[in-house]
Order: sequence, then structure tokens, then C-alpha cells
Amino acid sequence: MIASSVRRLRPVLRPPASWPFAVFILVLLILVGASATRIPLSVAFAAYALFVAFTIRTVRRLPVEPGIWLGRRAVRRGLVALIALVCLDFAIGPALLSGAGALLFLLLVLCDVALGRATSRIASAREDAVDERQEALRNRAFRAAYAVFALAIGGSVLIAYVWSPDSRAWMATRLSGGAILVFLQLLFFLPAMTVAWMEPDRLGDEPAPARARRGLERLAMGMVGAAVLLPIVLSLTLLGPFRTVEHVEPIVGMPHGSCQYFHAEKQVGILFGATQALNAVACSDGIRAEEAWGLNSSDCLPSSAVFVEVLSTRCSRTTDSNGTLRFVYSARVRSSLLPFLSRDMVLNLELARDGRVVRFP
Amino acid sequence: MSVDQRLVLALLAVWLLLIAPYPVSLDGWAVTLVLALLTLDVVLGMRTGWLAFARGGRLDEREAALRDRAFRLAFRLAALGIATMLVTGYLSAIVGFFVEHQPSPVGPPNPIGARGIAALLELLAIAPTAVIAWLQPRPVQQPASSWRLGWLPLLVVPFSALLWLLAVNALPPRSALAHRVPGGLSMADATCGDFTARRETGFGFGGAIRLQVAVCWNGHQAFAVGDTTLPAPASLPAEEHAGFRMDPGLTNCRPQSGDSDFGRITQGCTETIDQDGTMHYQVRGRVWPAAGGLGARYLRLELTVTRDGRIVNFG
Repeated sequence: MIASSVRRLRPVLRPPASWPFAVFILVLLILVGASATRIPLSVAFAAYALFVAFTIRTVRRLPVEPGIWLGRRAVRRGLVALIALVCLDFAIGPALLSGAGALLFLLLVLCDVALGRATSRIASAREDAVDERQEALRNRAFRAAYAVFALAIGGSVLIAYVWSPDSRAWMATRLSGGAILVFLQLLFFLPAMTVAWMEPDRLGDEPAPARARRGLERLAMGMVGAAVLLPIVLSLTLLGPFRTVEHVEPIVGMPHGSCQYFHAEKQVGILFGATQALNAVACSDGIRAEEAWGLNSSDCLPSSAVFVEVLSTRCSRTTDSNGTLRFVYSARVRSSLLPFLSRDMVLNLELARDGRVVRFP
Repeated sequence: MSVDQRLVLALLAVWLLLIAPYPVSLDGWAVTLVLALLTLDVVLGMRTGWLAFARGGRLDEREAALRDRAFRLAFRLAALGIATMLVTGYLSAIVGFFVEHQPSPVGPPNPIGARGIAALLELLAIAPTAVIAWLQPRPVQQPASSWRLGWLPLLVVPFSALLWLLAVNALPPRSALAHRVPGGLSMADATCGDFTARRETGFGFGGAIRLQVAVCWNGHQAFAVGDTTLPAPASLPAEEHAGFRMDPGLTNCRPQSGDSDFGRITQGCTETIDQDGTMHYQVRGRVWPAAGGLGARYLRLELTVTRDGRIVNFG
């Protein structure tokens, strides 16, 4: 006799619960691998832009209904907080028409698309398309959003104007940069952001969505997470260890005594980072060590800088009374996306008068 | 057209006057326009019962619906207003170029100006109330017992005027300086630089005097170039000095757009070259925010450059 309850066979393959994390790790490995094989940055950036486009398409395929992750208030509030951080970064950080600015813009577009799905676009819907509850929520959100908008725009402009001539000059530079985008973001999306912040969790009476839709939901969540977290994680690699390559080679046939060729590269960050390079020839004749070439102020330039700003803080060459040559090139590397992150990089060369390399790099 | 709608149109007219690209300078009248706007704001607020700021629990359904619609429209109104300000700001720069020479490229930045700031704050503060006043079918009926109290908010207008006058007189003047060497002018056997400074009262909401001078030095003397009313330097051949002409783009002793919107200004410039060849250039000005010279302040800007180009004093 067949039992009344049918025992379902377990599927051989089941979407793992950690799909979002897996998607993120996969994309990170691809980009780090691209960095290792020195694929041009423009190709990597184009690939990222394509990935963001696919993510937007995947998110738009998600149905907006109770139970979906975008229906949870905690997720929506996280999304609003992320948009606020991106806006803050635009207001104080990179220029609009820069690599970092383009990256932030892509992020903002993605977040706005997710915001629209999360709020069912009720902020801009016609009056006959919303029910009473949604109408009340939208009205409360518009009042709160207008107050925030007026205080944010009016307050910041007034304070920047009145505070000091330096703050006025700062405002002048920002008004021609990312601040315009922040203003447009607040003008067109602040009501939707307020709705997303205020609306409680959407609850439904229907049973949980079908397995295929759950898989799509997890895939979308993973892709959004990857698109958002990737630039942040790559910026955080600025805090990682330095990678240094050094090479010293004697040079024969030069008339200035015993000469050596010095090559060093110090790299920080993965894909988002900077490389500091030193290529020089220095000679010693037993009385003093001297530079032949490559140890001048014009040589203190970064070899590469990707989504970071490099500021040379010290570039000096001295020869002391013992005839020892000392060269110091130090620079501060600051992340374009996370301006509060910075590292100091230093390259040193100390060559004694007898040709002994005291310190390198 | 209702009385409230006429008041809204009056508000719009005054606001447009405040941001208009012409005249380039309001010659101290900006504060009058701002006080007029404030008066209209208070009147509109009273006639709407301050509905835009009322708590939801005290409103009936009609009032709540009107208020909610007003805030939705206020966002679009704010966008339109700011777009208008951007356009008029752009036109202002063009008019300023043709009516008076634009400031030196190294001049202290003044991206919006006090007029723009006042117009922006007015727009953000009054937009919901203006929409309510435009849309409401009739003004809010005040109880008879509260008529005298109802006009008390208008006291904020003279109070604001007094506060502004006190601020312009009490707040310390501030300077913004900029210079560029070598400057835009090139001269044989001499090095030239551009110097610009601005000294303002009331943290930008009073008047301001401006220093704009092109200075050259040739090892014998330092001297200003571009203003033929100033004495000719002895170290410069007469025929070479005769070749110079008045060029307000190099040296200008007039306040520029934005300097005299909130206060009337008179200023004069003098140049002396001492026996060591050091040039002393001085701008003295009088700024008075109100009629009759009330609240007048005297401001000064100085520039001292030696014959070898060393800046001894600037500011």
C-alpha cells in the first residue's frame, strides 16, 4: 500500500544558500586574476560596467511582491544608507569626469534601479495607481523628504558660503564636480529613498515564492552585492602589504668610478592602487658617491595610479660629509573612492663612498 | 484671480528681480528685496494658516490633501526655480563681461554670491506655502479674537532688518586673497604678476571692496600697470609708458558684480613708489548698508611689492 504522504525525492543538485557569497567571490577572483595577468584597466572597467548592466537587468526581472528581499525594511534601509554614502563620496571625493567618478556613477545607477524595485515606484506613481495605505505613506515621505532636501541643500550652501573664504572656494570646486550629481540625486530620488526608509516590512499571505524565483532572487542579490562590494573591497586592498621588487646591477665602462644600476618597484593595492618606481644609476669613487641619473626631483613620479591619488610628500637627494649619497622618495597614496584611506610609501637609496649599498629600497 | 494668487505672483516678481542678470549690481537694494520677500512670506503664511508647517492631527481631510499635494508640487517647483537660477547666473556672467570687465582669473571665487544664496533659501522655504496659497480656494478664516495676535509675525521683518544691520557692523571684515606670478601681462626686462583681493563685511551679506592690480618689477621699481591715472614710474621710459592704456582687465579700482548688492560702496585707489623702488598700492573704501550712511564701515586693502618682486604686505 502506498503511503498517503508522498515522499519527495531530494534533488541531486540544490541551489546552495550561500549563492550571493559565491557570486561575489567568483567576480572578485576574476578581477584579481585580470590584475595579475595585467589586462588593461580599460578592459576591466568595461567588464565591470557590463556586469553592472547585467545586474540591473537581473534585478528588473525580479517580481516586486511580499517576501522578496527588497521587501524587507532592513535591506531597504541598507540600500538608502549606501546611496547616502555614495552621494557623500561624490560631494567630497572624485571629480565627475574621472575613472572613480564613473565607477561611483555606475553604482548610483544600480542603487537607484534597486530602489525603484524596492518601493514599487510608488513615489512617482499616479494617484489612481496607489491604494490608501501607499498614498498615506507617500505623502508622509514627501513631507519628510522636502524638509531633508531643503535643510541639506540650503544648509550646506549657506554654511559653506558663510564659514570662510576657503569653504567658499571649496564650494566653487565642488559645484563644478560631483555635487551637481548629488543635487540631482536628492531632487529626483529623495522621496523614493524616504519611502524605502519608512515603509515597514512587506508581509504577504501567499506561500513562499517558487524555487526558481528564489534562485533568481539569490542570484540577483549576489550580483548586486558583488557590484557594490567589489570597488569597496578593491579600495580596501590599499591597506594590504606592500609588494616590492628590487634589482641592483653593476655597470662597467663608466668614467665616474664604480657605478651601479638600481631598479625598485613598490606596489600597494590590488587593481586599485599605485606603483612607485625608482630607476637610477649612482657611482662611487672612494671619496664620495654621486648620482649619474635618475635621482632628481623630476624622477619622483608615480609609475601608475589606479583609482587612487598620489601626492609626493618628499623627494630629496643629499650627500653627507662622509660622501654617502642618500635619496628619499616618499608619497602618500589616497583612495579615490574611500578618501579616508591612505598609505605612505617610501623608497630609499643609501650608497656609501666605497660603493657599498647601505640601504635599498 | 484671488488675492492669494496675486500675492504669489508678487512674490515671484520680487524673487525674479533678485536673481535677474541685469542690473549686474543692485547697489545696496538687495536687502530691500529680501525684506520685501520676507514680508510676503509672512503674509502668505498667515493667509494659509501656516498649513505647510501644521501637524497632521489638527487638519481636516481637505487641508491634509491640499498640504500633501503642495509638498509634491514643491519638489518640482524647487527644481524649476534652481534651473532658472542657473540660467540667470550664466546670463549674469555674460552681462557682467560686457558691462564691466570680469575679474582676474586668479580672483577669489564667488560661485553663487549673496544674492543667489538669499534667493535659494527663499525658494526652499516658501515653495510649499506658495503652492498652498495658489491652490486654496479661500484664505484661512482667523478667529476674531486672534486678529491682533495674527499680525505679530510681521514683526519678524523689522527684527530681521535690525539683526542684519547689527551683523554687518559687528562681524569682523574678512579678506580673500589671490595672486599669480608670472601673470597675464608680459613686459620686456620686467616680471609681472596679477593680484586680486576682496574684503567683505557681514560675512558676504554686507558690501565689499576689491583690489585688482597688475604689478611689474624690473629690479629698479615695482609699479602698477593698466591704470593711466596712477603716476608713471620713473624707471620706465616715457615712450614705453605712453604705450600703456587703461585696461580694467589688468587694474581696476571699481567694485564688481556681487560686491555692492547688499551695501553701497565707494572706493579709491592710490599708488606710491618710494625711493627704494617699493610700490605701495592701497584701496580705501566706505561701505554703508542702509540709507543715510547708517552702519557705514571703512575698509582698506594694501599691497606692497619690492623692486625685485618680493611681496612685503598683501591684505
